[in-house]
Amino acid sequence: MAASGGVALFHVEGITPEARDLASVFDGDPKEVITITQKDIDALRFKDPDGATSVVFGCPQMTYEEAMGLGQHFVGKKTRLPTWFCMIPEASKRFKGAALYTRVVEAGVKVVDFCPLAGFSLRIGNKKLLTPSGKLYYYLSDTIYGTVKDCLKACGVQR
Amino acid sequence: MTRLKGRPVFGGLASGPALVTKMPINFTASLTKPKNLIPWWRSRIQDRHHDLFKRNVKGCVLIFPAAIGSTYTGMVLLELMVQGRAPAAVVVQNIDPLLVSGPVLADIWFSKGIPIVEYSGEDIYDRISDDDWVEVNGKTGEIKIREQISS
Repeated sequence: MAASGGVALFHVEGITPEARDLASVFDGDPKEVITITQKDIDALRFKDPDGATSVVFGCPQMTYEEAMGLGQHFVGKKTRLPTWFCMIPEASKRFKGAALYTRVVEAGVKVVDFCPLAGFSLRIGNKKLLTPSGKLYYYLSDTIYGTVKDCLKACGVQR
Repeated sequence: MTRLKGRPVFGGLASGPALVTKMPINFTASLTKPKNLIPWWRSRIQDRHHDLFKRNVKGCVLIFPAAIGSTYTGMVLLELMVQGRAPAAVVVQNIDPLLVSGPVLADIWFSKGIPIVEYSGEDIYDRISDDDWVEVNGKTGEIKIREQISS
């Protein structure tokens, strides 16, 4: 929201702690209401299964819990595209101690602890990175956006 | 000559051709891309999502609703100022501390700040068009507009 939405700070009703309900964060009725539909979001999504040349997870960098959740999809499989887990350094240290880490690496995933924006800004060749992060899609050139499921499908680990 | 009165935020007097957008600007996404490493593209907006994509901000009076995105905003502007590739002045509808930090620090550290005026009225987009000559006074908040003479 901060990267692309024109807002530096935001409330999410029922999610961010100060915004228990709309009355807690609005002084009266909102001045303007903007409706975003699933169709709008889908319009951004990548639709060409051969369009991506690599897949990057993590922006903001992944937590241990995210890696443990996402890693399950790669167990016993091989990713068909270069795939990165960009993790928080401390989280990646912890993840490397988990049994799942070896399985994920065996599947061809590169587990790194750098920021994908810094790490992939300069890259050789006009590679199309597929990301499930709206933030990375906004900041990094030559990216395509998809859901986590779109990304896992592009890796060939989920149908 | 049209005159508008905004809120003075920072700096002295500067002028330049107007560069106007109704889209908030993400300075980090706009001006820290690999292409911005090329000296003559240093101040060229590289945010492909933005109306000002491929426009050069150097020497212009940049008129826009707000700064958005990374906390790095101020440093992006500061670097442009130090390199002599910044806008001449900034007129923004909604000021924020991150935007102001760039010109303030550029002034303190390098004596190279630029004026900032906040003008919240929507009429600014009717009063100023691209390439009108605009003078901005960061001390008084005055904005003078000399419309472009169309040929």
